[in-house]
Amino acid sequence: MTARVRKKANRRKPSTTPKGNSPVLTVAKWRPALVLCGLGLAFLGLAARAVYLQVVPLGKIPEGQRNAHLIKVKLPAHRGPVTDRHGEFLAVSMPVDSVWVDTAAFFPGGNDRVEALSEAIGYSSEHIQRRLSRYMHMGHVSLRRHMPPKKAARVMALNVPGVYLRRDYRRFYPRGPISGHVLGFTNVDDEGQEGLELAYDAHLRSRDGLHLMVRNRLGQIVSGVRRLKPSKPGASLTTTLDLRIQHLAFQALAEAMEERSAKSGSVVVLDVATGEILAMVNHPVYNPNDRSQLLVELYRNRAVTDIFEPGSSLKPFIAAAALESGRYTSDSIVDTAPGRLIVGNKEITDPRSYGPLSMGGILQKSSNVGISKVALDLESRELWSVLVRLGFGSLTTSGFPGESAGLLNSYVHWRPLQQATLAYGYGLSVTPLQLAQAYAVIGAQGVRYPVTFVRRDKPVRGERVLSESTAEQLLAMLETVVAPEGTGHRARLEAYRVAGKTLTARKYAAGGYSTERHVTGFAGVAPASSPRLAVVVVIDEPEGTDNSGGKVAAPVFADVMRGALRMLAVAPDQAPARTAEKAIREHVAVATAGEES
Amino acid sequence: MSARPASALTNALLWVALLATALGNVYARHEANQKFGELRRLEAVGDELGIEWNGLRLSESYLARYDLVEQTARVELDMVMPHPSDVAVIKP
Repeated sequence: MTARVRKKANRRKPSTTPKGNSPVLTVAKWRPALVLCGLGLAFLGLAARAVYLQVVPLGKIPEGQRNAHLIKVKLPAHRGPVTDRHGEFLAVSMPVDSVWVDTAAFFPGGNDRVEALSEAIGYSSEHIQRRLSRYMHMGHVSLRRHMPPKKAARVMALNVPGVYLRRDYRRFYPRGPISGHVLGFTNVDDEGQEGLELAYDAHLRSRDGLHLMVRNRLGQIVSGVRRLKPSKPGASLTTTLDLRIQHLAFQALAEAMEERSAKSGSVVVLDVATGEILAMVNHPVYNPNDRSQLLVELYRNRAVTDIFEPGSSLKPFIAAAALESGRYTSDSIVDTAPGRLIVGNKEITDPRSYGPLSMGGILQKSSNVGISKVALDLESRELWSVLVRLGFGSLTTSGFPGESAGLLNSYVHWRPLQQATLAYGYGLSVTPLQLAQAYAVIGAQGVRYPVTFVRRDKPVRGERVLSESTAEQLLAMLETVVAPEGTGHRARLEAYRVAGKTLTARKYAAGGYSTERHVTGFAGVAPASSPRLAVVVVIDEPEGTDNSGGKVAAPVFADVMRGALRMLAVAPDQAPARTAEKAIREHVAVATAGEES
Repeated sequence: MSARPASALTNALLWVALLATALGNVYARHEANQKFGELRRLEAVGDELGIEWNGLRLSESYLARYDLVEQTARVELDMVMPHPSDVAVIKP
């Protein structure tokens, strides 16, 4: 419309155009049509090409052409962190950069640049030259592995052609030896090798992503095209460990180990109401950040992998079987005089004759004769089934790699002598974790909760393995062990009532039981009025004149239990609670006296 | 249905539509590339921040390690663990 109007206007005022006087040019009518046609065809061609390029998927372009400018780039993702129950880091992957050289593009340009490069990398220029010449034929040479990103950035700032970085992740264990045995470690490829790192490898592991990128003539990446595979960082793992208690147990055990120059030791802290492992430490230790000395001996999480004969610490469970049988109560009297008992060809002895003892008395004095008599009086099947229900002789639910199930022979093979020695903890083997689990049952009113290293989303149902009354009676009996006249009096706490049992077991060596080498320990629960924690301390081959469990391990138990209950803000259940009342009364008295005067 | 010669108007409309969708396609592709680039950039920023955050948490846990806290409390601040008899427990 407008064009026509303009044409009319032009016709009306031809004189206004500057070239109005030039002769009229006559053009054959077909020529503009031809030009238009040609242009149209060209456009059509372009459009077709554009449609082809844009619509036909990249996959259909021949491989060779695609490779010219597209490149697949790996995007590394990091392994998931491991934290304690409050979110404190126990293991975390941090990026590290490796410096590489593409020899085809490498052009340092002058000796001073090589100098600068070697300085930034931290190796001598001779070393770098040697590496370059040795691996020249491989195309890509690694100059330095695993540098901190900030230092690597300084290398890149030199802008030497052909030098590039490759990002990896390295595992750091900020708590070092304190949680080393439980966590385990990863190898150079960030795959779990030991401990929880191995057990939960699939959960923690990351998946590297793959991106399709466009690069320019110089091989530099200019833009991304498409994600072939998304990178997926590993999920984080929240353990049940409480780092504060872990640290406390570590210190307490370390001190005892040093004082007694013991061979090894373990401490396990269990939450009796959930089966959660709040702390687990062992000695000797290693630092997972520095594994230059490859000593498998040090890596072992002894609290779950090593077994020992539980000695006297098993006696409460024999008492449990007796109570469960219905034929004994905690007041039942057993005559232990004359302090000797002959079974088969072996004599079982007490340090002296204790005379008639109640069930509680047997535990308090730790009478071998008394408990053997009780055990021999029980059906072997009965006794065995109680021990099995408490978790002896089978793996716990911890899922820890290399865990030992301990040893508990079937009652079918028992002879009277075995049944009697079993009563005071010989002829079967347990791990410290199994022992803690069994003591936790006493603390949890007879319910066994599956032990775990990893926080559960919802509370788990326990399994009743002892009757409530049995558990209650055991608790009361074990409290007498810690009484001032009991074997475990060093495990007493000022503010909490403790129920527990010492253990001093001779070690079996070639030819029989040694009289010099012992495993000592203490196992117990607190506060006895309503137990929250079960703690097991095991110290192997302590030195010194008195190396009984009551002397060596009970103080460690007391330190750990006292600190842990305080950290968990558990209300004291003895003495101080009364003084509190008194303190308030005093306070009120002072206040009212002040008002009156 | 008999094939009817398309009118010039229909033809023109189809051409316009073709051109418009072609341009739209080109634009969408371009936009996708741009957005992917942006996404990559933001992801890289996110990664850097995540790494920094982890690094800071690491330093924090190093500075707040329990032995140091305990030593500071005992030596510098002269703090002691209250004896149980000095503790008043108020039961609700």
